[in-house]
Amino acid sequence: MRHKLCLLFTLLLGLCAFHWPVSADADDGVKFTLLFSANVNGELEPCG
Amino acid sequence: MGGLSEKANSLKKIWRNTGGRVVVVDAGNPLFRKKGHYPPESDEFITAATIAEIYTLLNHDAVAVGANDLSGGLDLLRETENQGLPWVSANLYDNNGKPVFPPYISKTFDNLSIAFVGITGPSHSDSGDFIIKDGGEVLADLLPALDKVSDLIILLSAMPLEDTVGFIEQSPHIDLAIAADDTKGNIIPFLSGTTLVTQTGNRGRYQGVLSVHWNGSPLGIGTSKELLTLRKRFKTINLRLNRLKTNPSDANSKIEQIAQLEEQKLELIGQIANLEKAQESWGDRNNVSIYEHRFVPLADTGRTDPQIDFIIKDTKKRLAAKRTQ
Repeated sequence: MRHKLCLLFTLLLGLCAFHWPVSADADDGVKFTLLFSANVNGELEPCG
Repeated sequence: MGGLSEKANSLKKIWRNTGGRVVVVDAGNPLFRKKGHYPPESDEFITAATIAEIYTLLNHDAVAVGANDLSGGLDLLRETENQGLPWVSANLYDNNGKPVFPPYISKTFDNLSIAFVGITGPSHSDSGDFIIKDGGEVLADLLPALDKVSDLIILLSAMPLEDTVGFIEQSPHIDLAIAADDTKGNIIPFLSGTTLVTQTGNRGRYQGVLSVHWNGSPLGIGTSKELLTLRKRFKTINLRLNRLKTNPSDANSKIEQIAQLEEQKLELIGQIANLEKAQESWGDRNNVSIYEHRFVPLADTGRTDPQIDFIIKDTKKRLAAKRTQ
């Protein structure tokens, strides 16, 4: 009986681990800064 | 000086302040102002090669190939790629039907996988050594599969803004689009469906900065933060109104000012009520990935980078010497 309960518990643990959200979309999220530009147009030093 | 040297200084500062949690991208047309055919001895070509060198030193993660960038020929782009500049284009092909550059570049932060997809704008047809395919068709083939292996897809589109928005309408996979429409200036981020769209104006006068807190939901403004801002503004207006109303001196001249403030107050009350309603209906707990944006002017402030200054001065010297020959 004890072995069966132990097996059931292990199976449940395994299922929980399988469904746990291990991804970047988890609650806290990911912070980063995107630095962007466009159409620099061959300008080393734009003026004006 | 300003320009790329200011940009270098600005990027380094942001890099330090964020502990290096930055990605640096360009949506296209960094090298040339116009479409054309510039030979290696031309001023434009020499300047373009210098910009590519500086871009490599600034550790760009992805740079979309714009139509103007092809004006120095594919060899210039391939050479700069070999030197470390990460060109990206999903629709630029050589005459043998092979892609010239990777269609996308991936970068991972923690467990977040970001894919940068490049789209090249329409180009002059007499170039001979490359073919630019239809951006919409290429994206329709690429994005469904890319979406399965990426958490976030960022489009770097060197196309006119209307075309970029067209791509977004056709594809639900794009989370953020950085445009490179040279007829537009800085574009404050706006939502097209669930995709955020933005760009900086031309000639490299601004650096775009987007601080993102990504939680898997589409990018948007958090209602809590927006409410806080609106309530602060409401409080300020109320204080000003009280001051004006309780001060008896010169009361007549203040009638117009009071009326304007009352009008602003009413507008704010409406905005606050709408936001509160929205917050109640869909809750505010991380229902959007929050972002903040700013455009940093790269004007002549004297805060430059010595290494980039040296490279620019050296190029200018070479160009001046060439002219006196």
